[in-house]
Amino acid sequence: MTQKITISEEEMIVLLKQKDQKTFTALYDNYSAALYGVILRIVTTDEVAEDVLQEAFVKIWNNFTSYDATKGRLFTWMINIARNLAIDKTRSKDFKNNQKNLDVEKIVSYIDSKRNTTFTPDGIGVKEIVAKLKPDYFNVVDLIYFKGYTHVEAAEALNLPLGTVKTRLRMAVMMLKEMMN
Amino acid sequence: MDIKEYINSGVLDLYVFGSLSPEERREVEKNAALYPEVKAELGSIESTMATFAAKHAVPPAPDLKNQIWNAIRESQQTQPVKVVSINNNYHLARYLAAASIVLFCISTFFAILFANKYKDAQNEIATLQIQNLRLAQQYADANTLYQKASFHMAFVKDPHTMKVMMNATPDHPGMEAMVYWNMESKQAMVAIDSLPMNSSDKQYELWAIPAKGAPIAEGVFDAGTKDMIAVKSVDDGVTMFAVTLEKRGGVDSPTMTQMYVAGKVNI
Repeated sequence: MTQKITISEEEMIVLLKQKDQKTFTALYDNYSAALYGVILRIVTTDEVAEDVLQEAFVKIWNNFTSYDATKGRLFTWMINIARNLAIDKTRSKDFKNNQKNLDVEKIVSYIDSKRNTTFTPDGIGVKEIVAKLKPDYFNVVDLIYFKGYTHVEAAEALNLPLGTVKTRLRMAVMMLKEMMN
Repeated sequence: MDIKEYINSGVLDLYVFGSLSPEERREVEKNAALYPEVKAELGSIESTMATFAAKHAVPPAPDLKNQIWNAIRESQQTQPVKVVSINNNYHLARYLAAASIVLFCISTFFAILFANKYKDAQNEIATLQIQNLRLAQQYADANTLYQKASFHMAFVKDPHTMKVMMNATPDHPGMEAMVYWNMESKQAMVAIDSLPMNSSDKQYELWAIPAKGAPIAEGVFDAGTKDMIAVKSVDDGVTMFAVTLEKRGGVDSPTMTQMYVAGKVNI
């Protein structure tokens, strides 16, 4: 499988300004799997996810000057670009016509089945994380992080007060933090 | 500001999740710059979610890497092309603008030309309509004249119509007038070709004078017409006709000194 490139974000940002194929290789090898995993959660088919990943890398490459390192990590910036493109896709007409409704369980097991186990040396998979997270908290993370809902839309979808949605999201992130460390 | 409460509100998580509006984002960035705790918490959330995303990592198909690199290079090559196409559009726009001005001028020229022709045609139609009306009037007049003339002709030629010549009286020499009297229908007409013009306060009056009794007023008329003038019907027993000049509207009995012409009926 792809060799793991260990390159710091700071080094990457310096490299990205040169814009050669080596930089692209480093960027792609470092982030493509993580971006693809998120995209796949949103659009659910490889065919569409590959399109979105390509659009995301083209956009990241061409708009790199608009990234501001003082406002957050490179990965956060990249994942937001990828997520927004994926969400745009799900809102397009074509996608809606082709979309089969997969429930969360199926998607999770689908992703687990596709995941390369070498990427999780600690042995904690998505299933374990979801199992540890209460559904109330997971739903909030799922809608906002993977479905691209705003917190207002999530509150409407879950029929919860806006404050509750924010608090649950906060709790979920705290729990995730605990699990990751 | 209570930093702990701010962090616990979940707004920083929403920031990292990318679901804040641009205004809300600026607010968070402002606070991150002001409060180190906020900045630290943001970094912590980011790293948590990056790890979370890494847990979801799915390696894409191996050949996608080259395909995406090609797409990136293509996207950069298409940029200068875009500029050219903008230039082309600019030139095209200029040509179109020039063409539209030319078309505008040509169409304006023809519009004025045809407007003038239209106006001329309208005037011509108006003239022709007036002429047509005039001709129609003339025809109507001529027809009326003809009808009248044929009636007069028929009246005069009728075997029962008698022509009575009225000659000048000694006081008014050189004049004459005629009365046509149909013995059967009793209708009468007078022709006054040679009577002098009367003044506006006076009119000529025709008298039918029977063998016995007073003269009968037959009607008044003005000189200056070549038409025959219809007068009241004349009964049997009249032996003479005469014309006097009277005040306008006529009188009951003729003024003998103003008798211009007179003639006997030849039975």
